[in-house]
Amino acid sequence: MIVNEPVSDSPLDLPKSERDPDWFKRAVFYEVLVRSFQDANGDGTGDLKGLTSRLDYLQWLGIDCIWLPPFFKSPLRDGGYDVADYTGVLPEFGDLGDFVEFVEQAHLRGIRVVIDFVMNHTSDQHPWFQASRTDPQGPYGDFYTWADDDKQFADARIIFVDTETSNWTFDPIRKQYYWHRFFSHQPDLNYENPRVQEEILGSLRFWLDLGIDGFRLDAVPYLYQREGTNCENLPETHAFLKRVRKMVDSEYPDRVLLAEANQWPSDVVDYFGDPAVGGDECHMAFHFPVMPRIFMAVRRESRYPVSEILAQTPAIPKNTQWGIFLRNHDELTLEMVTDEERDYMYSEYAKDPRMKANVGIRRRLAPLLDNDRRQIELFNALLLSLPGSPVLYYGDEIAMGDNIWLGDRDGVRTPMQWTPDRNAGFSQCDPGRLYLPAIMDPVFGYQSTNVEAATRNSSSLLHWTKRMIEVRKQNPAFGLGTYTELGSTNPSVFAFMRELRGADPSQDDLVLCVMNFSRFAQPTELDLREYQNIEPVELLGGVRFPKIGELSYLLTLGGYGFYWFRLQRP
Amino acid sequence: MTSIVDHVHLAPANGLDARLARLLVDWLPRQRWYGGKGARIDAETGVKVLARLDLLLDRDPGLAMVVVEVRPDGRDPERYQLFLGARRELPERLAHAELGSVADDHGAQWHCYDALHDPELAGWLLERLAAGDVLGPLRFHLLPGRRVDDSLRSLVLTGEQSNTSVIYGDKLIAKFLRRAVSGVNPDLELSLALSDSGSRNIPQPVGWIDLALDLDALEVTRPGPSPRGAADDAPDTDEGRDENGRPSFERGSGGYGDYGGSEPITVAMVAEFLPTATDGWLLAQTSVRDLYAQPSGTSPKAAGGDFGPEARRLGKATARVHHDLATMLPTGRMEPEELERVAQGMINHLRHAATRVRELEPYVPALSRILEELGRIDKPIPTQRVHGDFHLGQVMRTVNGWVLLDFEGEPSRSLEERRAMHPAIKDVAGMARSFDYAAHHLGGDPEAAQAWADRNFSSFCKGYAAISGHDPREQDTLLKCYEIDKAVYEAVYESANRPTWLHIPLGAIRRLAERQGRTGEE
Repeated sequence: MIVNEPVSDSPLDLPKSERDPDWFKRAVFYEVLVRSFQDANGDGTGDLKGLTSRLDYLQWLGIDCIWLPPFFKSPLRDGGYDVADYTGVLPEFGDLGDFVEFVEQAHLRGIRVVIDFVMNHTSDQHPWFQASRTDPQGPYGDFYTWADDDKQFADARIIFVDTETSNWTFDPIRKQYYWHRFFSHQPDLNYENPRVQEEILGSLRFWLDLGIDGFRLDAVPYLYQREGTNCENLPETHAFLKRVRKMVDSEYPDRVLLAEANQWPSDVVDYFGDPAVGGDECHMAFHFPVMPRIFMAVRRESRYPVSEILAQTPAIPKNTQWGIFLRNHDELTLEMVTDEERDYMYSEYAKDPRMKANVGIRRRLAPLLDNDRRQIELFNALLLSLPGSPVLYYGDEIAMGDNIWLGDRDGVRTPMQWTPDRNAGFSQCDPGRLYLPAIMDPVFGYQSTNVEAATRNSSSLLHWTKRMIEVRKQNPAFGLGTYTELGSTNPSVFAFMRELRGADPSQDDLVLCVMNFSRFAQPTELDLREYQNIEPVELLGGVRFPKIGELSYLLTLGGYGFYWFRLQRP
Repeated sequence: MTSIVDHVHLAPANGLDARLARLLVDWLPRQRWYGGKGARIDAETGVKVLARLDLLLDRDPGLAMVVVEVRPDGRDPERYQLFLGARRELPERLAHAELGSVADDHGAQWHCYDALHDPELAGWLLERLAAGDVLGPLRFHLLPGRRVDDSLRSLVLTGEQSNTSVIYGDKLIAKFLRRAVSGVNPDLELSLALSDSGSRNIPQPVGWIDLALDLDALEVTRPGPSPRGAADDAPDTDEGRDENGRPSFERGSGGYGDYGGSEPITVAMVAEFLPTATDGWLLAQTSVRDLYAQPSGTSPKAAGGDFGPEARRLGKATARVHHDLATMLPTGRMEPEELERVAQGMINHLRHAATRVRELEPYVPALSRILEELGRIDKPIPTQRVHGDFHLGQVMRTVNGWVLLDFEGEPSRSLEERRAMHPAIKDVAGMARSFDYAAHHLGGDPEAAQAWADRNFSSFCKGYAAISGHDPREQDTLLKCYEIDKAVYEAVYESANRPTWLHIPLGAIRRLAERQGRTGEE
């Protein structure tokens, strides 16, 4: 087992040789909701102390960085993305002391911490908004975008089409309309106002001072509005992000900014900033379209949906990295596929209309794939080998299920299943007091699907996932290498090279990945002439495969099978 | 290797040619691309070397290009063009490409082999292309603006029928035409035209090789030994070179006369290679296989492996290529009299086929009636250059969409026929037949197969219509007639070559005879 070195709380104090500015490129991320992981005080809701008590598990699994969705004070009308206080912890999760302890304990285990930060909007309960609506002339009067009618910025689309009909909502107190890109209870901050910018920078510093390793910046494309545009990705938005980056680089080196911009990759690359300087906005950005296309490709048994999107993905600046994921706390988003493809995805993966949410599907990985272990493994193998840092979603490593009967996206936010005991070992409280009921169906229920059982069974998905993460870490090409798709004679077989150049050719790290998207066994021939005379070594078992010769390299794969090979140059 | 070629000459008939010819008698019939299979070739007179071009002489490996004529007993003669390599020691990896051993004029034994399999020699050819060399009658044309990395290592693709393709690295593909035919190859002609039109639906051509040699004249006026000697006539002085220092075939080997009277022979065409592409047939099979694995009664649209969106995109790509061809190359019109002739030709084809495939007989009256309708169309039909042999195996899915390949026309036809104009719907009919084959050849439930073929042809037509502005199914009679003609051709072919597949064209013929029209069907 690879054990990470403890993380320093303040990289500034370290000599340069010991600093690790590239850590985020190699890291395996794990998204965990404080509410859902472990309840330490028995009130039925997960908390920071509980999370801290489970760090050993994450260390054992091989996680390098935890991503915490918002845990700030909030009326919780949008899972905490409606922030009511940028520097306060939601009381049911604990207090700032608990948070500092959590970060410290994580760092001791070599695990970094990235937290969500919602820049675009606040809750309507935030004191700034309350002040803004009651005192238009006061210091907070211009913290939000107010107007006398709802006619401006008509070209901006409505994102939450299921619940919202306009991006403007009338406030009966101020008797004006306010601008919001998401829910009407989430007014957008007015970044035209320099004081808003200062307040936000101040809040970012607050958390960085507590030792965190970076932010996931929620909904970044929408910070500014301009008439006649769709109000997304505007130059002013990029300028502000550059300002944030400058502050981080000069005051908090090696901390990262991860942009959540649900846009086409060609637009998202702009969030990395200027390629000439290696990127001067966000260090990372999520690659959204690749995920639904993995689902589509496997369902169609054709590699093209994935090949296509990766071929259309532009190069990114030197010091940046994509973040990729299979599932997260949101629905499987279908904004980045065509209408025709969306219909297809719905018909295949959301047979019950309750599974749909906004423009997406609210399921977990295992139930999306009919709990087919071979497919789950194939998807994870893709996640861990495609270019970008993988982000796992809590519970998917034990093939947790979902509860489609819960409202909104709660179906995929149920308690983590630790044991077959009461409340899945998540909490000691009365089952009725749980924030959400634990999954109890016969297949995915906690009696059978839980960490304890999976730990005891050496052939479990959990052990397999841990092993895969370990192998990934042994081969830096996965995190740092280039990606090149290889021609495969078989349209169902997807093959690519990850390649990291060493000081000399014998130190090159070359990983060949071959994936069968079909349920049937498939042969393929690969053109590997460039690697002639190398004996590929399968990474999971260390088995040597026949030497690569002059002719195409023939491989056969079982249904949904895959290979990771290391090619060692002589 | 030097970049200047030392030895280019058209070898005179000498003992070496006769020895090579004897090796070829055994070797040619074993090649996939050889057309005269089954007929005996006389060991002494069956193969004749018409021309030999020594490209690398007194070298190991040596390289020559030969044009040979084969006269199988009872068949028309055919001409082939070959690059032959020669090595004193043959490495194991080239053993599969060996023709045999041959003695040179000094009595030394050389292993003679198909040079395209030797990366060293195939690489040498690529270097010539990169330089745009002219080696006597053998001319390497690099298109303006194209650059070639001549260090790329070559690999011969297997499994091709009438040509041999060599890929260089994962960047270029060179298709070497095995048949030596005077006149520009239609694939080259159409690719260049489409490239000029800016089409993105073909692999971009990079260059080509041709041979400016009038074989017929050569045969009649076969000259005697070269004035410069047979074994070595390297132009070691400036004499025999043109102003660029290239060996000038005409001057250097005077007496060979004028070869400009006939069109050059296309030897090879070089285009960008599409490393991550697969052909449409394989992709369609994936979809059909998936459908068969579903619970019976699943509609192809609902099946996971639905091919509909791909078929639609393919229809769009096809319509774009047709549009570009009509813009770049001549177009025409088929007047009613011409249509009548075409209809009569199809009826004759059908009747003749029915004498060879008795299963066709019951459908002759019904099909003839449909074909006669073609002769009654009273308005002219536009014609243009088309693909000519369009099916799923001729299209490739790349990460940027579909591209069309091999604008050769039907390989068994004459060059003139392959370059003729046709209604564009001929290609659409070809694709309709291909969907039918793709659906039925795995042998699953015929109803599911038919549903798959119908859905995908329908999607194809809708895609086509989205670009061209009209759905090909609106020209029902025309479409149907071309489908019938193609299916009849397939029936004859399958009956002779693959009787177990005969049911596929026959099933189509039965449906075509029964159905009145299918506009608007899903």
